[in-house]
Amino acid sequence: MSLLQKIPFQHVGYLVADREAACRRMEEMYGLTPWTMVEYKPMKASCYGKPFQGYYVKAAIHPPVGGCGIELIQPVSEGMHMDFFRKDPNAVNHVCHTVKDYETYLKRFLDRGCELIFEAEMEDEIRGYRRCGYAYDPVLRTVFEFAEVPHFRNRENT
Amino acid sequence: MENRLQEYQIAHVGFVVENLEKAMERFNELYEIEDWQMVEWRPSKIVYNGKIYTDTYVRIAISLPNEGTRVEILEPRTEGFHMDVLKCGRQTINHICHVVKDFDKALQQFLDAGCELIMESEYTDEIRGFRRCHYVYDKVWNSYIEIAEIPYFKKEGTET
Repeated sequence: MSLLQKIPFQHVGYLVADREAACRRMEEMYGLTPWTMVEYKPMKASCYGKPFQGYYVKAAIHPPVGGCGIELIQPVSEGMHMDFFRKDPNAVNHVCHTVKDYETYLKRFLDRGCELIFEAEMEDEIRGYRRCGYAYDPVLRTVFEFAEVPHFRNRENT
Repeated sequence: MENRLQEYQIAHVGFVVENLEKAMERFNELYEIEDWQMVEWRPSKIVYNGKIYTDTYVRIAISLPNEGTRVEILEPRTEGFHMDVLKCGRQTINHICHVVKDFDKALQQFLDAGCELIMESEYTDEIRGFRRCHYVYDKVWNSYIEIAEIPYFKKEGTET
């Protein structure tokens, strides 16, 4: 069984200039509504291996569709997302896997020559703690995101 | 409006590459994808940006098994849409694809929503039959969508 079968694509990520306009467009094209808006300001972030303060993107997620979905991201601060947004001719940016064993899967890609271009940690009382890492493959010239399934950490271990 | 993404699903994510074998090998290294459906895509007709192409050749590999959202790798060998994408030189990830039963209806839905028809193609082979696959582009979203028809065998005497 391939990894694609074990951890199928959870979404395809797109970088857009205007999140709200893109959501309206998705509604027009696909009937996708309502969208959950996420003001993504991770408590900790790094870009290209260096700590990054004040990272901010606006994200939007649609209701479940029973398979691979679409994520919209509007970069706000400088950083990895903004770099790709400025350079890529089209909006499509990455494919994402949502995983429980975040470290194992991310390490697998990094051990095989992918570069960790972005990593962030978030934690809140509603969803708990989660990390996300973006691994860029120089051979395929593609970004692969691994998003950790949110969980509540044992407070004694934090 | 019904949720079309739920209805159509994303059948595959398309990657346009310089070397098909190298890309397949890389997907095997990263994802342990060993089995691929290979297609020597020589469509009988392509219309791209208003121009008709009759000698298009794209080498394609689609990950197996045929379940969930698959990986499609395309290596263009002739001029046309995919070669233009490759020449941009940035990421290889290029499009999402919906494989649909009612091709005309699905295509019209996207066109009615304001998407631009970028490329039209027709392709026939002895194994899977006839199908059309068109690419649309959305200016606001700045993205390509492939709409692919489920192959079928045309009845004799049916015009293409």
